[in-house]
Order: sequence, then C-alpha cells, then structure tokens
Amino acid sequence: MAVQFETAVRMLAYLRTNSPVELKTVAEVFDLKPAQIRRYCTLLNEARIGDFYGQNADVEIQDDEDGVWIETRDSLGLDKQMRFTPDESIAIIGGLKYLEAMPFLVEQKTVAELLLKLQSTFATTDSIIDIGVNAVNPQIVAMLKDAVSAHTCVEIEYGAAIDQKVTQRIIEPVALQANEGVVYVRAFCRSSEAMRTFRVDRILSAEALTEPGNSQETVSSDFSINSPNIQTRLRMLPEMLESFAPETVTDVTTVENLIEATVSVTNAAWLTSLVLASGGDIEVLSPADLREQVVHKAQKWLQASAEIDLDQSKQGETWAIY
Amino acid sequence: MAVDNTMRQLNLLLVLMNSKRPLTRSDIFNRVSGYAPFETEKELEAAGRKFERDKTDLRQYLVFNEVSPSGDKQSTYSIDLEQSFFAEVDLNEDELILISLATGAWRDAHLGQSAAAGALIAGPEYRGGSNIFTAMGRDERYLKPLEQAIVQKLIIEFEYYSRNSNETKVRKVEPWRLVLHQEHWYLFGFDYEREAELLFRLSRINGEIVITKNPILNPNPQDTNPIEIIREFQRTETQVQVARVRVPIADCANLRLLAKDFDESPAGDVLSIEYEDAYTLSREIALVCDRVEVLEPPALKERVTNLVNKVLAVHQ
Repeated sequence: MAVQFETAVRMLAYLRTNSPVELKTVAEVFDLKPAQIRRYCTLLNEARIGDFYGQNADVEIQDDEDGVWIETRDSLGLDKQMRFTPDESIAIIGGLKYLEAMPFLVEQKTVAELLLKLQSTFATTDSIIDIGVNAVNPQIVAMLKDAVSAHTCVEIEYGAAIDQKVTQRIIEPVALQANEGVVYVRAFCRSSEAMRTFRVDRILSAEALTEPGNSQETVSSDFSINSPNIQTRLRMLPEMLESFAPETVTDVTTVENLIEATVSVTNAAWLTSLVLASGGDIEVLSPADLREQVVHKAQKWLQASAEIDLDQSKQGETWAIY
Repeated sequence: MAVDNTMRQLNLLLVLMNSKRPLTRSDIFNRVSGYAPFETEKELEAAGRKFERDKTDLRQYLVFNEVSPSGDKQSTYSIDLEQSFFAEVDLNEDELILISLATGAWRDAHLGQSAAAGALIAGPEYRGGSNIFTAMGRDERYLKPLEQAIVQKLIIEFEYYSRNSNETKVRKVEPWRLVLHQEHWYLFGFDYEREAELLFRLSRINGEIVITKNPILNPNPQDTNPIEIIREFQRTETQVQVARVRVPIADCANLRLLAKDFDESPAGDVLSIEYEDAYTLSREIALVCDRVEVLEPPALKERVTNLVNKVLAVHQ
C-alpha cells in the first residue's frame, strides 16, 4: 500500500485536532479503507521528532463495543493543516464558484464572504473556472425550496423533454439538485405515482399548495434514468455524443471526422426530434423504421411550409385584384 | 521503500518544525533517521541525494526556506510555518455545509480527488446537511490535465475538430481557464494557429492532451469574461427579433418555455418568442417540426427548412 507524505501529514494533524475520532469517520474524510487507516495510524505512531530529541507521536487505536476509535495524545506539534495545494485550492474554489453562480439556491454574499474567510487556507486564490448556469425562474425555485422544507405539495405545468408535451402534475418535492449548471427537483409525482426528477427550467408555471406531502423517499443525489429499450446505430459529429448519457453509448468507432456508436434510448420520438434538431449532424443508420420516422417528420415540415407559402401567395393575388 | 521515504520526510518535517533555529544539513542528518549511514564520502553523497529529493517533495506542499550564507558556512533550512499551515478558521454551520456542497460537487469527477481535501474542514457530518445536491464535471476526463497545465502555466497540444473547416488538426494552446456554459465545458486560452484568444469545446478534443515543458507567454486576461464571448458568438441578430409560431395545445413545451406571450386559438396557441440567436431557435423549432408552424419572420422559417433539408440529405 502506498503511503503518501501529504496524507500522512494531513492525517496526523486531523487526528490530533479531532481526538478521539471514530476510525470510520477518518476513512470517510480521507477516502481510504479502514485497513489503510489502521496502517497509517501504526506508521504515524512511529513518527518521531528525531534521534536527537527521542520523542515519538502517540496514536492509539481502541476497539470498543461502540466502534473503533483513534486517540492521539501527541502529534509532536503538528496540529494544523497544511495549506491546500494549488490543485486542491482550485477544485474547492471552483466548487464554491459553482454555488455562487446559483443565487436562487445559495446566497451569493455568503459564498463571497466564505471565500474571503478561507483565503489563508489556499495556496492560490486564483479562480480558473467560470460557470454559466442555465436560467431558471427564481420564484419557482424559491417555491420549490419552501416546499422541500415545509414538506408541502406544488402543482406544476411541466414540459417533458422527451416528447415536448405539457402536463399538469402535483408533486411533493424532496430535494433540489444542480447538475452541470442545470437545476432539478427530485419529487414524488402524484400523476406517475413514483419518484421523478424534473428539470426546473422546464417548469412552465407553478403554484404552491398547502396540502402536506407524504413521500417517504430517502433523499439521494442519483440522477437515474429509465431503462433504455431501443438500440440504435448512429453516425455523428463527436460532440453530438454529449447528447447521450455515457452509460447508454457502446461500440464507438471513428470514421474520418465522424463517429459511429450504438446508443440505447428510451423513446423513439425523443431521438427523432434530436436528429431533426441536429441539422444533419446525427444520422440514424439503424433500425430502418427509426430512419424512416426522421424522413417522415422532415417531409411533414417541408410539405406544411410549401402549403402555407402557397396560401400566402394566393392571398397576395387576391389583394392585388381588389 | 516508499514507506521509508514517506516516514523520513515526515520526520524531517517534524524536526524542522520543532527546532528553534534553522538547521544545517549535518544537523538534519544527525536528527532525522533515514539518512544514515554517512560515514564515508560515498555514503554522504547518497544521503545528500536523498535530502535533495526530500526537499523537492516537501516544496510541493510547504514553504521550505533555504539560506546560503557566504563563505565556508553551511546552508541552513527551516519551514515557514505561517506560510505552510493554515490558521484555524471560525466557520458557522451554514458555511461548513457550503464547503461540503462545494467539495461534493466534484464527487465522482476527475477533480474529485483534489476537492476531497475540503472534508478536512467540513467532514462527513456536513454531507446531506442541506436539501440541495450538486454535481459537475463527472464525464469530463480532460478537466484534470487541463487544470494541471493551467496551474503549471504550461503550453498544451491536442487534436481538435473545427466545425468551420470540418477538419481535425493539432492545436497549440496557452491554457487559461475552464468554462462551464449551458452544460458544455470549454477551454479558454491563447491559440497559436489563429494567434488569438479562443474557446475550445472539450467535446471536440480528440485523443490525449499533451502538456509540454514550454511556459506560457501570454498572461490570463483577468478582465475578459469567456461566458460573454460565448454569448456574443451565439448572437446572430443585431437587435432583438420576435418570432410568431403556432403550436398545438399542450404541446411543444420547448417553445412555450421561450415564449414571452401567447394567444389562444382553436387551431393552436400562437407564441411570441423574442430572440437574438436564430441558430438555437431554429434548432428548437426543428425539434418539433412535424407539428409547429412558423408564422414569421420568413428568414427564421428558411433557417428551419435548411436544417430539415440537411437532415433529409443525410437520410435519403
């Protein structure tokens, strides 16, 4: 097992300032296995100021009935954390900037003040990450936040991305999630009688209800999708791959500047719409009926447009006569 | 061996921290186990090489002072405690939850390991302290090498597909910033080919990013907002235009979300959509082209027809 200098120093300081601390907590903080924490503790116990001083650190693991605890009586003066490295600083500042970019979720002023307070902990205070968040209606977010806290229901008018249909639903919100700058609400949907994740920027309108929710779901941060059941082979520009969840894409090959991939999707209508909006950047290779659906929808537009043009030109003639 | 090295470096740190005065190399060799033996000249050279390596490693995390006096006197070494360690920060519970959310945002992402250090301030007990969850950069493997190149201020090279020229070429770039906009990640930097500031969409990068040993020459322009550059690039109209489109009742949600106003009619709702970016709006209309009607302006309708024709050209 690799023993890292940075981890050893950080752990000794952490153990001293938090002594006594449960081993499983230390494992969570350092993202290591309990066995690895034990190994570090054994080694740290052998850390010494040196032959000249002859003093050792004092780190002891105690297996009690109520868990495994680590007691640190002496860390030889090492009881402060090293400043975060540039990598660590940038990641943590980036995370805070991400929150700051969502004033409807978190108060910007609080994040700005926190960044100032944390200045002495960072090796660099440069922010190299810029965040642009998708616009949402702040009143709707505030209503959803209140409903989460008060365990009440909200009636929403929702535009599903899968088929663009607008439906009325009563939901019981349990949490808000921000994923890649997009805000979602996790809620029990009474229409579907199941837990669902809704994009907040697709809520057309919302009304707070006083009715209490009774959803029992444990809050989780999963962004689950329905099981895909349609397998399709697509040829596309590489960047179009972003349109699909990575776990639904397999068998990717590159042909010149294009890629071919097998993609599993849940809804054919959604895929054909996406292909139409791509303006030729995605081609359906198979199945054949899906390819036909794309052609059919495209022809429908051309036909309707031609008819309207014809109507308008006839109208023009009429005006000319009168 | 790796364990021995780590323990020697830890002991070196403890010795330097506990010394009231800067120490010479001989002092350090006598006080830190792991450098001995150093009786012969060869052994002393080997110990010296270990010490040089340790200094380099420690400097990644700590401010390690080395003073070289003139004359025959030996150099002395010390750790700048104030610069190397952070003072205790007084944080309230809300602030600790914010740090936990900020570090949690990178969980399972390529910067997750670096962000995890935030748990040293806000431990696992603050996870789930709010009803908000955050996530970003999960599927973006280029974030880590780009972040490292930006921190080290080194020029990078990568293969990039250009939509304008429809070709993939190796680009040489001075990396400055990472940008997340409308669910896409970009690199903002100085491009040697165009000799200009440019944004690169990470999904158009092909293969690996090579971090060269050459330092960047142009400083990061702090007063430039890359997100504004993207927005400006997306703007196709010189002033705000209004499109009128007819959509079926309870359908075409993507267009309804963009509408400022709508009129009901038996044939469907007529939406008024203000726009400056005809490129994006035409794609939104193409998404539901089998059931939408563009009433005006004709130029927008033509854009949609062009898109649809391109789809047909590929599929027929």
